[in-house]
Amino acid sequence: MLQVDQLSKTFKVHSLGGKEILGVPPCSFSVEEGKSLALSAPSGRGKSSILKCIYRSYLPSSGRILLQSRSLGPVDLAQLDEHDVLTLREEEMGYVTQFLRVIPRLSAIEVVADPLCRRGVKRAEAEAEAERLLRCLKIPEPLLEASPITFSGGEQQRVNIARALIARPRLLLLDEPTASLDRESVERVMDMLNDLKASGSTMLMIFHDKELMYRMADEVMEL
Amino acid sequence: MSGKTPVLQARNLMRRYGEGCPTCLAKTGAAYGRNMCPDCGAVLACRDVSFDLYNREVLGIVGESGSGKSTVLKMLHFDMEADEGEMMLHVEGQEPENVFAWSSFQKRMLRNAQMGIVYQHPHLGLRMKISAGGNIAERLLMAGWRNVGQIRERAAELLERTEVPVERMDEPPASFSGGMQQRVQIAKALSNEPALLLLDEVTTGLDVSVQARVLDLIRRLQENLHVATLVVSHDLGVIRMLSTRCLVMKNGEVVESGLTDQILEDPQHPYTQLLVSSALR
Ligand SMILES: Nc1ncnc2c1ncn2[C@@H]1O[C@H](COP(=O)(O)OP(=O)(O)OP(=O)(O)O)[C@@H](O)[C@H]1O
Ligand SMILES: [Mg+2]
Ligand SMILES: [Zn+2]
Repeated sequence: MLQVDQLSKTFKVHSLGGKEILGVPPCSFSVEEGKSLALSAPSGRGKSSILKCIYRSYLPSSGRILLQSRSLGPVDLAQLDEHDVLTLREEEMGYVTQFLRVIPRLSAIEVVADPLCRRGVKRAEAEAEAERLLRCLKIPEPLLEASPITFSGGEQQRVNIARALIARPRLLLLDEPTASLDRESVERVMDMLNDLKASGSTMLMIFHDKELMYRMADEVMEL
Repeated sequence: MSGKTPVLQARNLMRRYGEGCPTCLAKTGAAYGRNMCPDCGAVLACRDVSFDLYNREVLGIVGESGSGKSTVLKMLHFDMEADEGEMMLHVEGQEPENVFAWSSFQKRMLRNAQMGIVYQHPHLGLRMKISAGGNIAERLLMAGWRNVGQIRERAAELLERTEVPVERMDEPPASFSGGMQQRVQIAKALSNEPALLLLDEVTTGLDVSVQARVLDLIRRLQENLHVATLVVSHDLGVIRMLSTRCLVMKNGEVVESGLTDQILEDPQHPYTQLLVSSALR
């Protein structure tokens, strides 16, 4: 379903006289539909950058990122038109990072429900599902209606996960999804990921914790 | 599903102040760090600006003061004529048309029926001495509304949606705070249910907390209205919060465009890199 072919990324830093920094040395791998692949490498090897290239928060410098999209057919994410990228983000791709970009004044429930609303699900229905996920992730009751702006790192991360999973994306990119979570929350997240996987989602992931990595991944790719 | 056709296609918009000479275009622009021609003194406020705006989309235009952002907006709103370029408007079931070629009467009709604009300075968009409700009524009359009762009802509903206390609808905006004045402008801009909403520095000059409320209001409205919006701001924070794609302008030129998160995380042009590193750290 996803085939990455000689993908590389260099950053040209103009404030350093146009110095080129190699973020991702050329790499190739593929993931079959419904499978999960973990990327493993020492820090600084560009694991996160690979995910960002796929999500297109970074512009790939070379190579191809071939995706079998349900609505667009076979596409190369490295070259894909911006509007098509947005469509894929809305309909097929989810991405979890450690960092949450929150919208001021929206409650946790609204933040999580948003991707479903964008897909045309009724607000009340979307919010009910959001609440279910947040409860499942042990977000304390009084926080459900509060803005995640003031949440702790771990709480924000759980909001992030709920937001990425709520639309049940076909392709899920996970960048250290459990990094700042306690044991119990980690287990909840793992349950949710397993549930999603059981329903056929494909995953590309980075886990700091090797034990979790081997529990979740069908395959591990050493970079 | 999310509206796959552009509502508007701007093509090679150009606006020059002054006579101009044959070398103007070759000697101005971001590469030279100026928009004034050294040979003849003409100012190229903007040049070669092209973009597509899709249904439901919020497109940002960011750039420093004088980069030509407002010029682009003013041309699209027919406040100012373009020297060159096309504004192709796509209306469902009709052939796309270059509305720049229309008569001024047709343009006025289009503006009244399909466009809303919010200016940086409330006094450009509002008549300060007539009531807030009256400002909106005026707009509705221009868009063809006739029934006074319905107009009043609609004005009240709009003010409520933009969080202006309805009991103050008979007061003139002159007696309102800056944030409230902007909200009245937004209410007015939305009154005719425009297909195209133009926002020029809506939050510039407001206190940070007031700014956040206005931005938040725009986001919420956006969610429910599905209007195509062009947001102009020198503030990357505003662009980040409101837009999904954006253009970066400098010295009258678009130096870079892309998905907003990509522009912020992986800016390509030297100017964008500078802008991002100075704004977000
Ligand atoms: N009437 C005019 N005569 C001459 N030059 C003009 C005129 N109006 C605008 N300009 C010039 O055109 C350029 C672009 O102006 P514009 O107002 O579009 O900039 P802007 O990007 O909106 O800036 P700001 O962020 O300060 O609002 C500037 O150099 C400006 O000085
Ligand atoms: Mg301006
Ligand atoms: Zn000249």
